[in-house]
Amino acid sequence: MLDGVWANWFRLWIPSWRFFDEVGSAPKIFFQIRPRGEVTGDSNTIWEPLQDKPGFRAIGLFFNPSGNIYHCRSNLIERLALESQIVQSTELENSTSYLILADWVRSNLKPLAHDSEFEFRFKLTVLTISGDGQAHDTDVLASTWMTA
Amino acid sequence: MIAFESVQMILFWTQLLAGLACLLQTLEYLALRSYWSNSGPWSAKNLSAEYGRFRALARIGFSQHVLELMIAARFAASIFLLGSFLAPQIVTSLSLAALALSTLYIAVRFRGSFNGGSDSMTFHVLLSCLVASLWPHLALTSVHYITALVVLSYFVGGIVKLRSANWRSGLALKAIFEHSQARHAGLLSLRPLSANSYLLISWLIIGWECLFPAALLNSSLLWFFLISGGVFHFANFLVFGLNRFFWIWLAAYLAVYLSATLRNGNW
Repeated sequence: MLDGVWANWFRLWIPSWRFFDEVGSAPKIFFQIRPRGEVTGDSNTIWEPLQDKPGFRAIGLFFNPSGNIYHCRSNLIERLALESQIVQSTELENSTSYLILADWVRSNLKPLAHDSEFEFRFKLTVLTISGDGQAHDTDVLASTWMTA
Repeated sequence: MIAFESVQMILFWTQLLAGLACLLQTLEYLALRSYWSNSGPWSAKNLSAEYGRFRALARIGFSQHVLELMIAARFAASIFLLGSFLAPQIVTSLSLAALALSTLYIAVRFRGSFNGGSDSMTFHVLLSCLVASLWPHLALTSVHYITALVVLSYFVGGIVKLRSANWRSGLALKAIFEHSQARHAGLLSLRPLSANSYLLISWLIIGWECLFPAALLNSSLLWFFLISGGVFHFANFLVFGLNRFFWIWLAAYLAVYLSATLRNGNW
């Protein structure tokens, strides 16, 4: 784990020239939310997409914090999707990528809960493109229920 | 033999544009305080989780207060750099050093980079300008270094795309335009194009990137590639909101202009 961390210190020194060179996983986040203490069975399979993509504004050419943090988040969930293939789920739940994303989802869901106590969970899907060019969302990981 | 003053002039304007790019970036970081504060997702507590036995140290180093100091220093340094024609050289050098260091710190804090390639180019442009300010005899070398980075950023990207079957078929571009989460909502919600359109645009991008080194051959090609490059980065902003790339590549283009002009003996 520490080897991966030290890579963060050197990444800036080595220019990355692989912008959009692959189809990309196009990861998406879905969530479920319930009042705190309510027990939801596995039959609850309705997942809602987390809609937090910023809209376009012309001023964004000069000042675009929402767009840039969105890209930062996109990179994070791509990294988490990759980590989910490598590490065990118990280790993943304590990883930095997972913790950041969980907090992100939590903060996005708080307005939906209207200040009431709630529990939530999220899942990550990635886009896979079949040989005929059709795109499908494939589940990569799903979190446990968490409190707000 | 190129006049020393001419190289310094190009570097001066490169610094100015880099200072503008950094100022805009800094204002964005300030606006994003809720994300990197102690109660936000990118808190020191979350970031330190992956530092093992160095966790306590990471928690201090990545704390909200340290980042606030870095951003304040960055803001001041950007302003000083924008006003560098009024200040002594030592102030310019210190400003460049502060910006380069803060760029590195923020990248590490955001686990490698905050905004990908634009962070890297920002860092290298600042570092090159710093080297030139500290060792004036290396000014031309610094200019050529920035030029090499710009040329390679397109050329390597083009070669990688050329080797990708998904890009050669247009499939990669289709996936980016129709499924990428990076694509903006709103003004430029692109309607699906035909397969032939994706194919044509893909090969235009591949060709443009692979041929970018030709910008160094003569002035007509230079202006064609620099102007189309500006259009390319502006289009990336329109579609993906990538504003940072536009400003820092604009700063770096001045170096390309000088390198190409020197090569063609037109200076």
